[in-house]
Amino acid sequence: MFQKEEKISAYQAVLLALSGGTGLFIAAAQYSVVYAGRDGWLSLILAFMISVFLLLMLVDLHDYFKDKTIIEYLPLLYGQFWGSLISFVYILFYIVVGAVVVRGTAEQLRPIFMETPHGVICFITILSTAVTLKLGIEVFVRVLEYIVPTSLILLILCFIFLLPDLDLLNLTPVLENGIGPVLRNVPLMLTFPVHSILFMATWLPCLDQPKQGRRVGIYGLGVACLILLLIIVMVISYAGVNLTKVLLYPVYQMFQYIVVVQYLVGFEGVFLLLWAGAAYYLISNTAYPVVIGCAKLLRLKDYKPIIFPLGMIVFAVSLLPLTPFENRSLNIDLIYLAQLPLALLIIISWIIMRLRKSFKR
Amino acid sequence: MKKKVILLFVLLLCFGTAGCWNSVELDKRAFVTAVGIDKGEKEDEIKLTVQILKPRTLGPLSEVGGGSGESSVWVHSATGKTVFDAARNFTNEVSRKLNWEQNRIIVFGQDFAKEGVNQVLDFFLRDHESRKRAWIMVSNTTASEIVGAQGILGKIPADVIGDLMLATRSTSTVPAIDVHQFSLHLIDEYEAPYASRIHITEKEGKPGAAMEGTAVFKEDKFIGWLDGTETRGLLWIIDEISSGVIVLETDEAGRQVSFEIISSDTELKPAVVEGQPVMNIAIDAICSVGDAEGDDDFSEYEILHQYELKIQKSIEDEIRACLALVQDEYGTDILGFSKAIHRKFPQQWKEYQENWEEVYRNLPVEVDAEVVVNYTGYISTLKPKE
Repeated sequence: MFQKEEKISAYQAVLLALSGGTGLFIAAAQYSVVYAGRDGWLSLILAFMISVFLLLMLVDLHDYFKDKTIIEYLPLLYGQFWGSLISFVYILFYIVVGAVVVRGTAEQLRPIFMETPHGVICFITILSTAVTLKLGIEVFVRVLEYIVPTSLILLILCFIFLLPDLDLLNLTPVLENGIGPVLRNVPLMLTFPVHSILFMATWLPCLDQPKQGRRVGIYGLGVACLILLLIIVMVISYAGVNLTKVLLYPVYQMFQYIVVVQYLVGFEGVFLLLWAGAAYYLISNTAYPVVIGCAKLLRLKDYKPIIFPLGMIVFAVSLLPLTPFENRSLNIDLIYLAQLPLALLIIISWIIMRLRKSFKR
Repeated sequence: MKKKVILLFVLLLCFGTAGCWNSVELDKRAFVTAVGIDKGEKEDEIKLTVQILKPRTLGPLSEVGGGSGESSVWVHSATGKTVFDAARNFTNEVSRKLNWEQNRIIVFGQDFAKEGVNQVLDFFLRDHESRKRAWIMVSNTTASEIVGAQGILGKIPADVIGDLMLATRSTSTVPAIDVHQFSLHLIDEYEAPYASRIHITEKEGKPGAAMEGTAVFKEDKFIGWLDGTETRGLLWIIDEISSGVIVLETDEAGRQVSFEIISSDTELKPAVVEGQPVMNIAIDAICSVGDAEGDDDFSEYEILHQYELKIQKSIEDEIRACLALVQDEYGTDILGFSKAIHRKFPQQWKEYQENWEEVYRNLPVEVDAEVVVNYTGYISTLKPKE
């Protein structure tokens, strides 16, 4: 099928796994403090450690069903009807999560473009993503090769410039209330690696060296974990736990707070650069599974003709939440109601696959 | 044909890059550089006084400050039920909407601050335009007098006050706190915020502004002042000493030696003794000799060491003066003791936090200052021994 014509290198695959895990970085600190407070960074590490097992299962599935995406092998595992139904749920999840992500990234610009209707920003971001996707995943990852290092450099610069205003002691005392709250926060933090792994389930067939899947995934998730850790530590050190819980745009505020040698201020422009990069790969990461999933489910010869129609559906859904808070709570609901069950689906699929394999023997 | 359509689309996009959706031209903006907040004349009303920039007076050829007599800012007041309401009421008299992006200072009148500043802080934290680096100050009179003071020399009076704030680091008698840091204290359940004290002075027959001391808050309400010495005690405790001068008497004749604080490092070391918390304040300071009236020879170690001990005593006195007010009289934790105990003894803290104010008021504090005088200037003494 069409994915056979598109190939990505191992390095590009690492960038894809990394971008899938860090796309929602703007919300990382807020999610980390929900139950675990200042120990949220421990939840993040635990979540990424757990997700490695999930990754290994996914790659194992991919090794078994060679050159097939999750949408293609689900009917082989669960039968045509149930497999297609689960695939449909998978696509539906990505349509809603894509809409939430589009809206969330548009809301991040609210402090700068107060009067610009969020619909306009949503439309422009979807349009730009659709244009890139139409050019194929190879072009998409080539753009990532520029965006990911730039985003990393900007984040590290932000950390350096903010260093005099950061109080790392805000992260202490560690485990004040025991491990309980940390464990309770893990499902919420799983959203970052699980997002990357579910996304990976659609692009693994494009990898030019199929045996590199495990290594690529582990590298990508490892670096994503470090980046998110840096962001959480920065935000908690800057705003403490109490303020982080109530701030709507902590990363934006950090950039706004930067002052260099009592002279250079107004780094919101730098934040915009970071935002543009993150919005690009975050929206692409959710759009790609939707278009690939639909094309595979409907057995189309090419996924490109359905990009714009699907983009319009995502755009329409993105307008539904009334406020940024409603959008955020919808995102959290999606984690529990759809994302984690889909992660469970990979585990169940892997168990079925192993059982079949052993029966065959 | 397809290429032509794309080209046309790209050309059309160019028109969009010339401006943006919510662009506001410079001449339609009223840039606020300082804001003062007082109680209004009517009950439950807020009086907002703002310094608005006159951009045309700021060019290199403008005569402001050069004898034209024209001020580079325009001061105006408006009232409203909330800050936001008052800010919008400006448009009844000014054709431009207030823009907060250049605001450097926020001054509270002490009468207003006594009733609580929460609502005002809420506005400045919520508003997307306001800078979280704006300094917070409390005036011993009304805020409108400070914001409207005509004797502040300089093109932008708010900038002068901002510079003054930075300059006070050389005396360490004023705490510097901005909106972000103030909000961190305010949102903490056990800590309280503080702000710098600003007051009116007379300069060339016109009212000017000067800064010394600290405004102490309990929750969000202003409850009292610290003078310059007590403020330095506070700054020693919270590790915010930048520099400063310590003047000591050398002998009974009243001759004096002054020392400059070069650097200092404070660590709060809480301990639990018989189930009760104790606070140890450990200070390491480095000083140098600034000037000396007596005939002490600073090349002799014994003499230098005697002064080191005297400086340690002086630091302890400043800290005790601060504690007497902040801990005993006001009973408000602007010193960060709650945070230090919480971090070091998280389990015991659960017990202390239930009646923290009482624990705080009775908290024994020990001061351990270590001072080293490591530079005596270019001479050891002006009167060499024969």
